[in-house]
Amino acid sequence: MEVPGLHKNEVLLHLEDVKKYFEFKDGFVTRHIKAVDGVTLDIYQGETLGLVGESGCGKSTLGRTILRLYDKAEGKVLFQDKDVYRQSSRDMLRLRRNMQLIFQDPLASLNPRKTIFQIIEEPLRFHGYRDPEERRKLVEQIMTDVGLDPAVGSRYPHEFSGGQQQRVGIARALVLRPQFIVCDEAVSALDVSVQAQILNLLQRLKQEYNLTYLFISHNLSVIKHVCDRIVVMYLGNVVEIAPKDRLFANPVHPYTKALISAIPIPDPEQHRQRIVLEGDIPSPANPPSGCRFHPRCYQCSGREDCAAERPKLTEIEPGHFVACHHC
Amino acid sequence: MKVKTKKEEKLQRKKVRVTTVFSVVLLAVALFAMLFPSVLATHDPLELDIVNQLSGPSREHILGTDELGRDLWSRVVYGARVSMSVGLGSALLALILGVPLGLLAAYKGGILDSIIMRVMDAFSSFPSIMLAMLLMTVFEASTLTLILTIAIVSFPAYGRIVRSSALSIKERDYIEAARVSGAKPGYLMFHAILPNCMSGIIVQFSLFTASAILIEASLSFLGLGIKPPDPAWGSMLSYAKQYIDRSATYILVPTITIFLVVLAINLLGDELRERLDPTRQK
Amino acid sequence: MAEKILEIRDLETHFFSSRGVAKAVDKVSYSLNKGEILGIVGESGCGKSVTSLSILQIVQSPPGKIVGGEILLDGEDLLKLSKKEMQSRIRGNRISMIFQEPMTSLNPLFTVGQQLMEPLMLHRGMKKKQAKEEAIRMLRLVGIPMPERRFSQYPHSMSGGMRQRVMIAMALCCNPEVLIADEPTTALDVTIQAQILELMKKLRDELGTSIILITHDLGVVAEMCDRAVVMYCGSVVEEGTVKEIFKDPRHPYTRGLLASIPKLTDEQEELYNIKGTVPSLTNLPDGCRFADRCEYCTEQCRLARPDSSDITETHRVRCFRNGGAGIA
Repeated sequence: MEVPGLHKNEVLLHLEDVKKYFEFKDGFVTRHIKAVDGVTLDIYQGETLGLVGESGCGKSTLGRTILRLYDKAEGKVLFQDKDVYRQSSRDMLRLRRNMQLIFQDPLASLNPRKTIFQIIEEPLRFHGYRDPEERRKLVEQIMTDVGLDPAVGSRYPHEFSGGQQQRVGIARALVLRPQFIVCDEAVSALDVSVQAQILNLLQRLKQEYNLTYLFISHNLSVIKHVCDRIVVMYLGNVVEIAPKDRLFANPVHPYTKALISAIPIPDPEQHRQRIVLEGDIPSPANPPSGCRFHPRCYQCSGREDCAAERPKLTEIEPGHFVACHHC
Repeated sequence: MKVKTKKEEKLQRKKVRVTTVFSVVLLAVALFAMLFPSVLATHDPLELDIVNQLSGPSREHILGTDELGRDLWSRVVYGARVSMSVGLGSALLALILGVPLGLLAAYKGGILDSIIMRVMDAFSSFPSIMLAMLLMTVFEASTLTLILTIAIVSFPAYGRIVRSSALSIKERDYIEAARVSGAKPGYLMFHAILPNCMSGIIVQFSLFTASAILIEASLSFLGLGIKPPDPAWGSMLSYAKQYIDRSATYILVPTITIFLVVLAINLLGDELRERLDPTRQK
Repeated sequence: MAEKILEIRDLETHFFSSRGVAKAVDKVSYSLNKGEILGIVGESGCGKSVTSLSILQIVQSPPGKIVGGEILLDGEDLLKLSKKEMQSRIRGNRISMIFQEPMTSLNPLFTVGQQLMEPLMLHRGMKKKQAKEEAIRMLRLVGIPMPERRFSQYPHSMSGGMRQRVMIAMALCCNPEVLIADEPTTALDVTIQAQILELMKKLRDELGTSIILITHDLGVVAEMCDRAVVMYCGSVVEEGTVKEIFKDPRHPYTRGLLASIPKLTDEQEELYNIKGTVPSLTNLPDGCRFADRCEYCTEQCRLARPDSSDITETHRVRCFRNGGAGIA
């Protein structure tokens, strides 16, 4: 998948038809929640890839599948050509140094019984940093980098505000100097003014530490601000991929168009014609056949191929892909 | 000696609650009685004085006497040895057995979880009496038999509490964060999940101690534990029941003793839970 | 001249704890006109929710307590009413409220229909059969397909968006004069949010309900509201028509807030962010609450709290540097 401007960069992560289903029992029958249902994607070194979608689209599950937080998954997840799900536990430990996660709920992601210092230090302990002095230096340095005074290291998570807690989470993710970070709704739980601080911080750290981000969010305005390329998901499938400017200038998939039009604009004089979708988002335990969006699609009503066959991602202009039979 | 040092240590911390002081003092006294009963007791606990049977408190017998004229205060003091060791010992043994199993069941899930749960169900349905009798054939009727019996029958409850606590904690973000950072399962279970279950465990510990002492009572009564004339709080209680109409003191003495000790353990447990929880400090 | 339906004057709600007194609502005044949608904007802890809970007198007490002010509904002071009168005449009847989390606001043990019938039978004195018919009519009105089936369903078998519609139906079934919507769409997906906001507008047009919309999302305010009130640290810092607030923000906090949101429509390298953090409500500074974080702060700002001053008939701001003079 070539993208103009990025083709020189190497592919850091390659996802090949990745599927993640969750089993649950419905009486005697075993059903599946098809959280991620066949995703093929490349993430390039140095980019911030946005992953956007609503409840049930599978974006969080995809992020966690990449990090091998589940025991099994179908398809291939290749991090720098290494198959993540085939690594031995020792190799996996080494791989984990390079892939980290920042959580949505800053407080919930911090162990309430450990001090800030201990929380940030923990990853170093897992990866064989035996010298306490060395660890201390590394922790203090990263704390300063994210805007925390090293002196507060002896305090507990609940003593801090949401924004500061998230800084701790970021420090912990960065202490091992990873290459790739999944930001799972990293600013969604923060107040607007704090959001801005943290987004700026993430941008700055990306430059300083040469990071690649997978930025998961349901908020398109935030995504637009930080991402280079954007992937739109719906019910476990990718429906559109495009560089940021192209996606907003020329959204092709009907779901993408509806998503963009649904965002309230903070300007009372700009009134957009809003596309309001009918009905609720179907459950991933029972997704529609063929194109997952077809029951709510306002562009194709009753067309046979939409219900029968899942559309594949096709490139409609350089770097811009859409999964739709009629776009 | 012991009493003072414990008290001093607690007073050094910023705020000392009255209840904590009370608990510590009481338990210290109980432990002292366990180790040096002769110092506290006024009489030989086995010494008979039938003439003065079932008497109330007097200058000679501070808490009165039982149906054979034995001094109740001395019997309480000597009884501490059995009751405290059975109470604390079985609660501790149950903890050692139940907590790791509960953690393992919650963490691994799946078939292992089912197996462990069924095993625990089996053990908890075992009638303690049968178990005591069984163990008696191997060991003699003794404190050890009692501790083993009670521990084996009670550990499943610990296991279940820890398991349900661990199941919900396991899903928390900070556990996932530790996994992403590279934590191994052993670390996750014991260093990350377990400390957050401590609250439930401590509460359970104090409750267990109480029920252990009472179970001791029934087992001893049936001759499967402490044989008379050895004193133990639980068995004193069961014998005293027959003489309620003739001596109020006789039944009150062991009751209040058990009550005070269990209360002390309970209050201490509360204090411990609060001190361990960083979010409650300040 | 717009007609006022609800007026809050100098409302004070304090929270008493061992750490001190938190003045969650500190002499707040604003009014709601008939048929309008008034937005209350602010971040967490600014007091917007507590104000609305105070209107209905459902603040958790202890530790909270309404210690002063007046709340006038069509001229009648609600704070002077007895608990029984609040419960029978006002709550659910003349003033209704919908919350952010529809799952926890609906009783999981009763069907949707039963919960909808309750206020109908209680406040409008309907009999069971009549209430059932009306309930189904309400469900249809809020856009729930197959309302007869949904009537006998439990909340957990419905999606978030649908539950929120049920909440709206419950809130409107007694045709209240005022609807307070506390972050009604924050927990919903953006496409569902669009549906719910459309619904609220439609219902306002059809039923004439006046709405207080509490939110932290400035986009929602711009789309939905006629006027808006900006709150910070328990006080109103600016009030005006939506056009005035967005096009001519006078309070530095309002400006900061507007500047720090990422917008779909323009490009920014770095987002503006307001320096510092919100002061603790138990330890408020003497002067203007925003002084430490304000770019235009002067000595005067630290010594005394500014009063509210009028810029136009509809636009008020609480700042010593208001009125354009002094702020670039």
